[in-house]
Amino acid sequence: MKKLTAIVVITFVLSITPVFATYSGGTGEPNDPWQISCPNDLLYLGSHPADYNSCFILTADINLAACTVTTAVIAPDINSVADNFQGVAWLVSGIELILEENGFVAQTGYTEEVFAISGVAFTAGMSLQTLEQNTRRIVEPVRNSSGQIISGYTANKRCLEMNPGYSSPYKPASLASEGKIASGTDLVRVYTENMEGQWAMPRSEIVGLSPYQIANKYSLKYVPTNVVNVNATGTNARIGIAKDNFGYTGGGVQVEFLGKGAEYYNPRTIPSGGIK
Amino acid sequence: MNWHINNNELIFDNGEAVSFDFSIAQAKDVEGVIVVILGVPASEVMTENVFGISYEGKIIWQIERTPATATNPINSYIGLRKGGTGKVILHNWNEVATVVDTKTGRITDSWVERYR
Repeated sequence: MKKLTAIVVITFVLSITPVFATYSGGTGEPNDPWQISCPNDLLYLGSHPADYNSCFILTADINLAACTVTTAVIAPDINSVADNFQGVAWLVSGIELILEENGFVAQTGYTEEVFAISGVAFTAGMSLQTLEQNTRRIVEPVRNSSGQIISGYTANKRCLEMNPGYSSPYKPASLASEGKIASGTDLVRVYTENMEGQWAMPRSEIVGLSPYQIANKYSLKYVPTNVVNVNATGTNARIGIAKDNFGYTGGGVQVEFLGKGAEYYNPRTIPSGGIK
Repeated sequence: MNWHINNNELIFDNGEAVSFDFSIAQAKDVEGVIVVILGVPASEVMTENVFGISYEGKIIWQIERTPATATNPINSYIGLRKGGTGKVILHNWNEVATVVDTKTGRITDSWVERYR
């Protein structure tokens, strides 16, 4: 995997509108993604939103220090797609990671995160729209808070530092976030015996899923039988993608509470057809 | 021996009583030892909040400190279930299960059981 060395500062003072022919290669298909190998390729992508549903691969380190831009390098006008945050632009530029519209300000200078994000965005052949959707899933529960976007690697590292008995619960090559749970965030917790605990998930992630499907989506050793609503407004939390384990695929968005204070209410059996 | 809970006190019918710093969240008689879990408020720190009490009203052990649950000061035990002869399985807020010998309070096993 190539490392994206992006040195972009959003507050640059000048603007450029480059004109480029196309990318360095590829067709945009999953088996032949557009090749991003120089700053021009990246800037070309930024000026061609029609390409965002294509696939890309990063084929070389890219240093944007010599470029001056006033907006995000990619998808500067994608706010409407992302609703309350700036979409994928800040991910690919990989530096400021600023979500100013709702006050979520990620820390800068996380080379590892840039690396992981670029890997997710390009190496996996993932379309930018998919990346944006996945990003929204992990940012949504902590919207309106001051937090940060981190990689799955870092999420695991931080989790294991405080929980020595754990094996990595997050998918490494993925995005995660940290912040305070926003008011109105609809969280639930599934369980068999222990109604309260450190882990939960957005209700939307398990609507309509059977207990076994939930176990698969969250790599649970124990197939859950019950569900309880969780009000965790203002609680610090880490949000990330469940890693595969116990023969399950994982992939669900999980919430790890970093502080106490959550309220658990309305416990009930999970219907065979899933919760609504 | 019969007993009951009154907030932060475990009171035996013979008049013996044991008081704790926090209210008693759960207590269970496991083969002659009353295993008590204290409810630790969110604003307080107590990672070893489990005690074994004899019928004579004596604290015979407090659960030993272990990195799996004590590294993070916000952790505390919040539930228990039977774990075989002379054993109880404690559930920690960080979703680590810990097996304790109720005669000695020693931890004999532990594992992660998220969402159990």
